[in-house]
Amino acid sequence: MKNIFKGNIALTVNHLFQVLLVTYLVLLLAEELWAGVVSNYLNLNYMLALVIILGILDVFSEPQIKKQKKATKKDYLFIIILAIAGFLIIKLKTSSLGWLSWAISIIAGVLIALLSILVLEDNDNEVE
Amino acid sequence: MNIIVKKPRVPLLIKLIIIAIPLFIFGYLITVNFIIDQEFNYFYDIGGEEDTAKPYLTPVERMSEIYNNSSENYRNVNYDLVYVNPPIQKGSEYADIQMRVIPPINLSFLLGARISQEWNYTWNELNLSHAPSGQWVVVGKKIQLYETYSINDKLSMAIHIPKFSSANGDKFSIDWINITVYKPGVFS
Repeated sequence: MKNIFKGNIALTVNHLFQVLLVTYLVLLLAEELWAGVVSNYLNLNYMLALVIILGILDVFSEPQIKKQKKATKKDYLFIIILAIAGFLIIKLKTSSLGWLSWAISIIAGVLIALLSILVLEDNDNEVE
Repeated sequence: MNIIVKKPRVPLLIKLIIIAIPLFIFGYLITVNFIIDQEFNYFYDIGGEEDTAKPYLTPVERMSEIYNNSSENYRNVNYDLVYVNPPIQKGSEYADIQMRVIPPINLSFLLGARISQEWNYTWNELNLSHAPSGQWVVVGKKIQLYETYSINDKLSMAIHIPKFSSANGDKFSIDWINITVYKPGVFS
C-alpha cells in the first residue's frame, strides 16, 4: 500500500486523528449522559465526518514504529479507573431498572477490567 | 561509522495547535452551558409546513384540520386540553410564551406546565379582557420553570379552556406559538 504522507506530516495526521477521536468520544458520552449539553451548540456529525476523513488519511500514512513496553502498575491503575468509570456510566443510564441496573453495571465493569487485563497481558507475552 | 537516524517528531507549535482544538471546544461548551445567559427560541407555526407533516399540538383528534386564508394558516381547537412539548434545558428559569389566537368568547383560557410524573399542572390564566371578540390577538405569559417536570428534556405544556365546547359554538383558533426559554448563567 502506497503511503500518502510520510515523516513529520504522517505523525501530525496521526496525532490530530487521535486527539479529535478522543474529543469526539468524550463529547458523545457527555451528550448521552446530559442530553442537549453538546447538541444544543455543536453538530457532532460534522466532527464525526472530520474524524472519519482523518482516520482514512491516517490509514494511508506511513505507520509509526512503536516499541512494545512491559505493563506497569500505572497500566493496571488505568484499567481500574476505566472499569469504575464504565460501571458508573452504565449505572447512571440504567438506574430506572432497579436491582437489575446494579447487576448490569457490575458485570460490565468486571468485563471492562478483565478484557483490558487480557489485552495488556497478551501484549506482555509478545514482548517476552 | 555512526549512522544517526532522525526520529520523526511533531513540531511543538503544531502539537500546541492540535491540543488547543479540544481545549477550545470544551471551553466553549462550558461557557455556553454554565457561564453565560442563554435564550432559546422555539416557533411553532400552526398550519405551517412542519405542522402539516407532524402536528405540533396533540392529541391530533382534538384539533381541526388546517384552515388557509389569505394571510394565515391555522387550526381550531375542537376539544379542551391540547398539548405542546417544547425542549427545556436543565437550569432554565422561565419560558415566555406568546400565542396568536382568536380567543374563545367569555371563557377563561389557561396555560399549564407539568409539575410531576402524574398528570399535574400549574395553571396560568391569560388575561383576555381587552381582546376584541372574533379577531386575532397576540397573548402571552411568563411561566416559571424551576418546579416543572420534564420528560427527555421536553416540558409538557397544556392549553386548557374550561367549559369549552365546539358543539356549543365555542371557537378557539391558533395561528402560532412562540416560546422563548431563558436560562441564566452562573453569574446572573
